[in-house]
Amino acid sequence: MNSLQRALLTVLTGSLLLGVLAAQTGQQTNLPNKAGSVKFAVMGDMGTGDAMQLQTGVQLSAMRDKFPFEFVLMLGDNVYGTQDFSKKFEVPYKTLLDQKVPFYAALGNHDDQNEVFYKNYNMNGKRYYAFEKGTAKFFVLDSTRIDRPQLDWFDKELSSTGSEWKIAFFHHPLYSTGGTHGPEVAVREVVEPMLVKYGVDVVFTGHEHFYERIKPQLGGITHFISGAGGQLRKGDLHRVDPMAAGYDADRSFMLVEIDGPTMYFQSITRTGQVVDSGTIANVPDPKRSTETSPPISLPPGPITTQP
Amino acid sequence: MRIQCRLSLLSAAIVAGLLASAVQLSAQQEQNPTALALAAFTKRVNAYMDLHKKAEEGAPDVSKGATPAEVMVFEKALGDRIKAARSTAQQGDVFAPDVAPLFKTIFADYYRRRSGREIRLLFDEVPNFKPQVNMTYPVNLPKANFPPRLALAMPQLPEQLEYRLVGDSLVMRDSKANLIVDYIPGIVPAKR
Repeated sequence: MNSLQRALLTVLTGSLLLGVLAAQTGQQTNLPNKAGSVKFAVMGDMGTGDAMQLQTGVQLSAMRDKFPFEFVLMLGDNVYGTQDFSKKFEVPYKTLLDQKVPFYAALGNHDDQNEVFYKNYNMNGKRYYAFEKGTAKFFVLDSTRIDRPQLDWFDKELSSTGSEWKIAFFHHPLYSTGGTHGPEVAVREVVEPMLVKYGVDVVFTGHEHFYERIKPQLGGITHFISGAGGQLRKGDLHRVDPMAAGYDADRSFMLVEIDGPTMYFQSITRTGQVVDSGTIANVPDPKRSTETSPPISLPPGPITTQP
Repeated sequence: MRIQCRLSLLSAAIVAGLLASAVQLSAQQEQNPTALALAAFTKRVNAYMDLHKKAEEGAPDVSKGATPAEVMVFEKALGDRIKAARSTAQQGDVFAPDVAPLFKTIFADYYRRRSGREIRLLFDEVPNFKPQVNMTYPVNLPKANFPPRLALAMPQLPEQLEYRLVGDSLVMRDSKANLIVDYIPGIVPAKR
């Protein structure tokens, strides 16, 4: 039996197991699931190629039957170690790939930069890029290598977008109560001012191998960590401020829905258990509010009236 | 005609001004060893990039999207070609003695401004192996974040090249070929 056959057998076994688990849990998403809303899944630190990743992938696929998300955000560490994309990506998410669900990847510290050329990651040769889905614009950063060109690009992209929802995702968390890594302060000090300045609403990151939702930080931005798509660091959450909710007992991923000014989210485990859920209101756009607010003083000169 | 003449005079004045600035800048560079060292460093980086581009011309094209196997073949082919073209390269060829002390000063200044806790965070997942010129960066090891403010203080590299930290060394890595181009050992201060 070769490795591909072994992997497929594991998926099949996982599917059967999860079929039983799904029947037990009922696989409730509790998301509004409205027509026309933006629906997506989020996961990070997946690429182990082991049975846990496979089972999480099967659960993610099963959830799509209830909640037809259109695309998936990958928060980095997409492939650990040898670049075996088949075992660590194509097999675990085969059902979604067969359904033509696009994946959008960010690079993690375990990723090879040449992943940017892999067509199923939709990076188009770029380690930082942006894309739009409905009322939302997604900004994908390479947090392992923040440099001047990337910051200039980010500033230009943020300043020129008119999207109602601005969502950034990258690998390293700006806030975390994790014991192994903790917050990435060096990245935060250069990235966060831009997120605040341009009214970014939500940030998704990975790196920490658990799920964590951080209380709204500067600019009212909600930060999520969803880094247990394959890896897991059990009991690593310190559960102190600024954590709002967290889960570090099993693999997990997120389902998200944007409907008008509200974002609905859920964190779901490998076995289909919902461990966190809630809503986030759109952060008012500082740029837009400045543009639409009345001027403080009138410029000198004659006042003219429209005929 | 008069307008044309005025424009010509204006252009001449601007050109003269620019020339004077250039001469002044050139004179400053001659007197400024830092500027000279940085200019020489840029020249060496550009020479490496010329070699990289030449090597890439013969490697498979993955720019329009590729399968995993094609990506791996590309990376290996590019790496092998660069290694062959730089078979005699040594530590200090790019990070030559003219810039190494300058970069050490930049590093020392950056780390001096950090608290002990911040420095501990900066050491998070810094791999610890002995880098070598032309070495393939181990695929099973992470690439530690290069601190953004430190990156902004260092000369900007072309997109294909990056600064990375390995142990206490600054490494210049060719990210497309996954090769270590050069390194400066002992540049990162000890963990506090």
